[in-house]
Amino acid sequence: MYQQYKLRETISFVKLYKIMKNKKTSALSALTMSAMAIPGMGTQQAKADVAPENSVFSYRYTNYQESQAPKERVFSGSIDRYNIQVHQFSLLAPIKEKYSIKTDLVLESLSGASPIRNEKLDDGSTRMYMSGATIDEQRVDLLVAPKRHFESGNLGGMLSISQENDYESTALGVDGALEIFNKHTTLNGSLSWSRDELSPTGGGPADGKTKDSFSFYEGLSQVIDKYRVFQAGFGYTRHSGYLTDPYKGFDLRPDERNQYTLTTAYRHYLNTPMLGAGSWHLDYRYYEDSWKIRSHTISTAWWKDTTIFGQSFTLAPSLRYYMQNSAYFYTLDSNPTDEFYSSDARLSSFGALTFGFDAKWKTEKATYTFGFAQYLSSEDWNLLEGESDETPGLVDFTTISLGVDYPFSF
Amino acid sequence: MVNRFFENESLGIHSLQFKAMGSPCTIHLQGERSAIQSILESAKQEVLRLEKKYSRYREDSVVSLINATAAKEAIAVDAETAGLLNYAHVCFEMSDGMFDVTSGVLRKVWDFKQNTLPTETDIAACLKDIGWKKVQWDGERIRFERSGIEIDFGGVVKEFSADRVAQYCRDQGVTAGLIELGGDISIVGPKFLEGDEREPWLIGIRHPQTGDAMASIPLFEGGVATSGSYERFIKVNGKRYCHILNPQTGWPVEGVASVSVVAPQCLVSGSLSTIAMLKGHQAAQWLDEQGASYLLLMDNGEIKGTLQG
Repeated sequence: MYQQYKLRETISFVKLYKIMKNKKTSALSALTMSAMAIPGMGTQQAKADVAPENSVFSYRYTNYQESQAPKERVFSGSIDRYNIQVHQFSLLAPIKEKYSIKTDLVLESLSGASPIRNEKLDDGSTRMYMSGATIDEQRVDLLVAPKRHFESGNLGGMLSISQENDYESTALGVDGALEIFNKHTTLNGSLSWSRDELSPTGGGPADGKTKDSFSFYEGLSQVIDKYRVFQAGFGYTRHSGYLTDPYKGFDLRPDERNQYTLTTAYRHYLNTPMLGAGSWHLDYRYYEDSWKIRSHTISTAWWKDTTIFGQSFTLAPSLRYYMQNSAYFYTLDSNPTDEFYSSDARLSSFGALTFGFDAKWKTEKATYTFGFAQYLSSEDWNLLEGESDETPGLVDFTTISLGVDYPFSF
Repeated sequence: MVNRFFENESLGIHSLQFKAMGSPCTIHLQGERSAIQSILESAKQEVLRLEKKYSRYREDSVVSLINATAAKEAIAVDAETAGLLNYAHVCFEMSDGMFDVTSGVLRKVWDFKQNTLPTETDIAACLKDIGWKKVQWDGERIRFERSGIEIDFGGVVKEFSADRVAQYCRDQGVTAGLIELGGDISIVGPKFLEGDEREPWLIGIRHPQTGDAMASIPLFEGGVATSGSYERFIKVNGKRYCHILNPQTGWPVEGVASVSVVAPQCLVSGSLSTIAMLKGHQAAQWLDEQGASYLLLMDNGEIKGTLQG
């Protein structure tokens, strides 16, 4: 949104230059045209939401690597946790003037082990039961999203099919954006439904079970001035059906989960003597659900444009802090007796830090991207509601991604 | 030359006077008092914002940041600054390199407070740091080819601000008014009388030495700006050296005593009048070629231009 706004305000320098080079143009008319092109010199004519001019082909490779489980806490199974490799191919194409279509193909392969259950021993330590090293699992995900662009907004649809050997998911959605108040305010909304069918390896009670989800999001983006944009949004998701993890032992979860999120984002274009010119991002997200998990996420990033050896780069270091408290049925009890129970570390109380670094290299023909993130988590890092039980199931991971965006015309 | 204009409180013209950009400034807006008062104040704030942003005297200005950084690395600028840099580029091209936003460093050797001339050696050294062609500007980022180069929007910011504030007032729904920042004028819109009748603002142009009226220009819209060698000069051995310096020679220009230009924007008026000063004895010919509306007073007292009478 901010980027779009910035582009709209930047005049076509090339166009001006061409006019000026024509020596027949008088200084009066060349200067007048150039003066009128300065933002704020004329009545701002907001442009319609337009379909992209070029097609863009994108490819991203992501390597997600989890750290090993702590050897001294693993009672059985493999300590080598997940490695996931993702290849994402994406094609965004304009169709006539008012339509565009996006197609995404994701190929994912997963290997490694995951925790089956965790239990607390008498000495206060937690023992982990890991799965054996999983042989490669494949996931194929196909998404098609057409969009219609209007004078002051857009309306889109989405269909996605995802397939794994033990899992099948179909999702449908609609989304729209409406720009109002001379394009300074944008309303975004989306609705989506999905159905997952489970067929876990080795059968079991989950076999043939389904899970349905319904999501609603409403957001607002407000341009404060040329330098600042504020965004806020509210989201609701309802999951129902078989929500228990079929690959965990001693795991029984409620068959309904209602999730609420409140997000805010602030973008500030700054020009300071110390840091130079760049865009500062500050985001906060509050989450709570009917499993009584509440979480806070705060993240900040500095997007800086710079030139290195005459090449255009955007560099973005980022920092993110996350914390949540545990679900009401989270337990490390070796013999749980409550109605619902799970020892899944993702349902425990913990805090996490992510250090990220993103880089973009823009050449005339393509944009190359690089991303790195180190995620570290600990049961001691929940600053508000820490709990004393150790949680060796919490995972640290590193992601590295490489990508290219290649614009072209058919 | 002093600009005078018509003012009449009974028509509901409200004015605010203040000092900014080293000059007296006046904003006149016509309309209902309570509505106009707050617009006058925010219009003044807009002038102060631009002064703060583009003053080379302020360390935290965008100009100071560019001057401190661009010799080391390319620096991306905001859209407004980009617009001004594009404009400066066009000025350079259309004036055959005479109007140059990097020429401000000449003030290091020319001190118009003391009646002494700089040495040729000092000027030659200074000229090495001058030249828009030594600036790499791609529409988004700016970079200087060498250290010592500085840009200075002094020749455009006051005029741009007048236009910008006039547009701001129009955006607020004010249709009648006049912005004057240190003699540079941008019209918000013509005054209204009873009913639908509109009346132009009368801009008087005076002779810089005698004070006599040289012209009275009725303006419905657009801008007027004046450049003159009488604004600031030094006298050495009986010869007058004015503050308008030729970036190619490093020496003050000669030929034109004062020039006023009327154009659709005050910014353009200001640039045309500055370029005319730089063109010296060819000023009238050059302005005629551009189809400009102007009033020119030459050093020898001759008055030329389309705005006479």
